[in-house]
Amino acid sequence: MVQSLKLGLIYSKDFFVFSGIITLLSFILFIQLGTSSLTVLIWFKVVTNAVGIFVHHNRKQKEYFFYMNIGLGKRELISYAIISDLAIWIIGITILIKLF
Amino acid sequence: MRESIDIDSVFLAFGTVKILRGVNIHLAQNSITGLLGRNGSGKSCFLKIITGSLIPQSKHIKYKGKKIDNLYTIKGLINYLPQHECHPKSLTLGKLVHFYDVEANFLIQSYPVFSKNMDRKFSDLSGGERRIVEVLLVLESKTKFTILDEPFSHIMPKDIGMIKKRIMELKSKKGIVLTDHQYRNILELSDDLYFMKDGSLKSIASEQDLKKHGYIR
Repeated sequence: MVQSLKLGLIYSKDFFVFSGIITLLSFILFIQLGTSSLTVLIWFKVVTNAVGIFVHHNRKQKEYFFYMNIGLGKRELISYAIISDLAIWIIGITILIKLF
Repeated sequence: MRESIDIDSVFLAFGTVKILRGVNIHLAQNSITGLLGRNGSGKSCFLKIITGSLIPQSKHIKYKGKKIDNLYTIKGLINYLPQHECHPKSLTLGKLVHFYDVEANFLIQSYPVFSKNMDRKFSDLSGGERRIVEVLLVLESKTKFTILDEPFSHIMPKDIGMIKKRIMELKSKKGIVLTDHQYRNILELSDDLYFMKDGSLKSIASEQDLKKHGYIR
């Protein structure tokens, strides 16, 4: 389990840099624009994540056999990246909603 | 008990171009299977189909008498080294060895490329060193079958000799599938040798057969 998480992190590192910037931008926009911007921000996050994971998946094509040799498939890796990132975004936005 | 994988009825086409036309092969543990063929004959496509990364028009794979779609879904059954580099460049050799769950001391004592470089990043090694590391990690990993696509590329003759010796030693523990254009090495190592021609596999017994099929002069 711990090994899978470590491998997921290695796989997702570059994606997290991109998605982290998007998440931070989302939080700043939410603080500036308020609760009314939530729907737009959700779409913003979904669309940028889709583009980000598509680009990331293509960049990592050659490495997938390494992960498969160790027991992790493409679906698991991509799911790890998306779920982790969305979890952080949702938690952050929820906290901001409560604060503001 | 000696395990085996049976693959048959493999058909692959890209548009109207037919690449594989009913390829059949039997892979057994404790055996080395060699695949030769011209560039573009479909060898790598066939290996990718076996590993589930390329979906053909049809295929039938059986393991322990049961039909299976993707051999990777059975933990510890197969691993695969593609033609191109496939390991994250940012990882150190020590980390790669750890992830592959291979005995580090054994690698350090047996292979100079590991004894000097365990703390170095994979990207800091030369191209030849990276290839040797990849081949050895996949070979030494505890799977029942190992598939190597052009393992001798970019490697100097002395190290090819070392890899060949290790392949012969590991034959007692696993089934190994090899393909390479250095055909003499494949001829020497293989228990069963096939030549990919016109979308199907022809059994090869000697260099004469390769001449007959126009692979060598």
